Amino acid sequence: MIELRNVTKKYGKKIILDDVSITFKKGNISCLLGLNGVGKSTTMKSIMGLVPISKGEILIDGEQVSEKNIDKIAFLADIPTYEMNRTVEENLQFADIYFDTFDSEKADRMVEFFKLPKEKKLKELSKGNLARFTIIMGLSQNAPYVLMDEPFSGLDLFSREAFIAALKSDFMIEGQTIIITTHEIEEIEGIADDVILLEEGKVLCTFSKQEALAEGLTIVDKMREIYGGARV
Amino acid sequence: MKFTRIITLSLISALSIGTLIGIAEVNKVPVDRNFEIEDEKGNRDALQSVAFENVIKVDTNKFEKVILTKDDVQFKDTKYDISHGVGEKVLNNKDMYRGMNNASEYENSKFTMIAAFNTHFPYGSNEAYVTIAKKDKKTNQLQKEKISLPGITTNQYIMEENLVEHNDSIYYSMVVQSMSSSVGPTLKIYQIQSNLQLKEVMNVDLSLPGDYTDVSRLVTDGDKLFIILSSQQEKKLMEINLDTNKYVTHTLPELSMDDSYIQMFRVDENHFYLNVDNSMFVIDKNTYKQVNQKVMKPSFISKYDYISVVDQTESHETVYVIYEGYKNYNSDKYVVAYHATTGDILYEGKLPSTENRGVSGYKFVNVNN
Amino acid sequence: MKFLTFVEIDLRKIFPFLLGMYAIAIAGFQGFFVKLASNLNGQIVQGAAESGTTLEEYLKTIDKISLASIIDSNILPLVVQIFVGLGLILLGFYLWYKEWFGASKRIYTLLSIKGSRFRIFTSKLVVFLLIFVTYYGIVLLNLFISSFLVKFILPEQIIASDLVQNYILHSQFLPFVIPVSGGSLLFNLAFLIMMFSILSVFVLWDRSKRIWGMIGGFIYMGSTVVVFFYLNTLDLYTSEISIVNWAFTLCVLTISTAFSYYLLKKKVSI
Repeated sequence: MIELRNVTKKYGKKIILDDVSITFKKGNISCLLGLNGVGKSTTMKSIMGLVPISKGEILIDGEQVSEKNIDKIAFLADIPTYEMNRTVEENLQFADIYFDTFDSEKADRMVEFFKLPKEKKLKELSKGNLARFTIIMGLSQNAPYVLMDEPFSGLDLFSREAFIAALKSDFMIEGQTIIITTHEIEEIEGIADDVILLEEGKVLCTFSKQEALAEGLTIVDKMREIYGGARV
Repeated sequence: MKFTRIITLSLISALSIGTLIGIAEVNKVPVDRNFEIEDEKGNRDALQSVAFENVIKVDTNKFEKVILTKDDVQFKDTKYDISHGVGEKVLNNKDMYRGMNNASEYENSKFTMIAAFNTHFPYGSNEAYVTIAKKDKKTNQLQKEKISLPGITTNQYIMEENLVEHNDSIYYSMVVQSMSSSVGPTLKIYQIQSNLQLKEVMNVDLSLPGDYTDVSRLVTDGDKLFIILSSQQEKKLMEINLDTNKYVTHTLPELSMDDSYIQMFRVDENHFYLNVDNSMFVIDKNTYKQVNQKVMKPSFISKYDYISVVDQTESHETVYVIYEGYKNYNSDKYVVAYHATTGDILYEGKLPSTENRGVSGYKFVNVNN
Repeated sequence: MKFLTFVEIDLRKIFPFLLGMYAIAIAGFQGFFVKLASNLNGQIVQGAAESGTTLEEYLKTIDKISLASIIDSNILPLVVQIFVGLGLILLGFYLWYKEWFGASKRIYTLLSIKGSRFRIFTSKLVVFLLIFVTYYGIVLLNLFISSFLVKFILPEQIIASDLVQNYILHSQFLPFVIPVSGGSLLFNLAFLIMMFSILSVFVLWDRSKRIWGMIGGFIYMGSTVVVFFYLNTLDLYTSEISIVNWAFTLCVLTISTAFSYYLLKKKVSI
């Protein structure tokens, strides 16, 4: 379980996260939703310690996130963070060294599954293939928690489908928790267990897929309701 | 993962450090201690009364003084600071000499006094001041004062400085030259008070008729100061008497008129010694007449583009001069002994090269014979 | 292993540029050296002709030629090395710059790896030191090449012995380029670590506080440079200035490294 307790993040006078408390349940796929600039990415980076928070605390399995337990989380940023001038294979070799829990054999299987050209440099890959490579890097770390920041951004329809397929495949480890930020609501309909809506740095609303279904709504319907729109 | 670049650079780095330490510390070449004067002309016995001194570098931050005589060489450990070009005397009295390494000096049995005008004036600093330092020999107590000299402006520069004792008072003298060609040099003499403040006692215009007056070194003899004034037309010897605060000028024998620059000027008990245009002159102190019958000139002048006088001394009717001759890439040092009266060359010899060992030039040192 | 991989990846990035810089150092040094030695040879031949003796006889009358008499009389070969050295300092800055501003934001990955973040600093420091120690080797190599080339340019009997050893001990200018004794090597390494730490403070502060961090970093970097130059303009003698420089270096090195550690651990934001 990842918990954010009363987290505030300021950049100068600008408040990005305002006393935010969220609990991401273990084994669920949670989606952080909201418009651009509401603090979705900052939440992810705060969990990773990439952005120091101004107030509050962030716990992973009851402990503060630190250099000691950071490998419980795999982080897939919304921008390339790998060696773009190196091949897929070389980057996987680096990952094998960097991440103690990296499963090279699983990574190879995923490369084959996604039909990625191993000998190509990352900068030569298409957007879709780069996204596939990113998910390979994320899932091959076998981390109990995987944070994905805007994974659908810039992907075509087929790539999105492949991406979602991977999240439902046996490449996931048992009890793996996925946290996804996106503003593409329709994409997560089929996979999300929990939804957290952010607005202007605050949690607007939290609900689960089951809660929505109990009301006879889809996630998208529920969101429309929250935002005051008409039922489809 | 292949660490080829780490391995490559680490190997090169290890090799680099190894080679550097190997050359700089382990496998040093011993300094060439072979110092011998090379005879060029005359009999080396003429060098009986003189010895030469210079400093060589024998290791990183390790120096030795070389005392060279006509048939012997001795080495003594010494202190030297290459970047400041100063030796033991300064390095043993850093507190006194700090910021004024080339100060004028006066020493008696009780104290040492040094004085230096602001060395950065007028380009690096526009403050006209002189620093005077006095160190008591018994107590080692140091007095150091910075004294402003209001009359000096930034279109002037300091050519000469001197300290002399007269009637238990120390006098600081300086020659100020103007950057304006219409204004000639001025000699200013100040009496140094016990609190090291200055009291102006004389202000002498050193101009000769004509466009430009050059001046020689300012030398002291007893309570008198001497300086040679030279222009394209004439050369005059000025004598300044601190007892009477008066000065007189004496006409000098006709020296070279081609060159107004007096390369060297010294005085001893009986004579003045000066060098103009590679020629050495000995002048009688009482009559102001030239003593040497023949102009004293070294025989190797034609071999070089330029010759300068490095040091001069005299003993037993012999005048000794150290010359340095320059041609293109090369410079050689010579010693020449002249007969003081006849002007004949008694001896000419080439001093050993200091290439790859020396850090200071040759100068004469006293020998007691 | 992780640490070595950090180092290897950084080396890979700079390797082509590094080789280029070393090639410039060698070509520039040797080019100027050959030119200077050839000029000197011309002067010797001219001197012999003017002396009216044979070249053989003339050579006996002049001082032996050492590397000091060629390079220290016209320091252009060393000036090239100094410029290359300055380029290498910029390369140290580039090592950090590339992480945040390059095509790939690799810093995300580096900061997300289990273990101390300070390894990122130390790995880059190792690269920086390797660059410079290798550079010392390149300058030494230049001296060896020159001591070999000079034999083809000047008459053999006029060339002094032990050219490289003597140049290292007696050159006035070489100490501005490379350390010339064990003691100065230690100081140089400490000074390099200090320089890298100052650069790191600038970069990491910038990444922690953006505009204010950048201004703070500039002020910090600028003030250390000002203090260093101020100390070296004091009327201090060589023995004193070396103590002052050691004290300054160790002091700034400690502060800058500690500050970099703090920023990297607590403040860096991406």
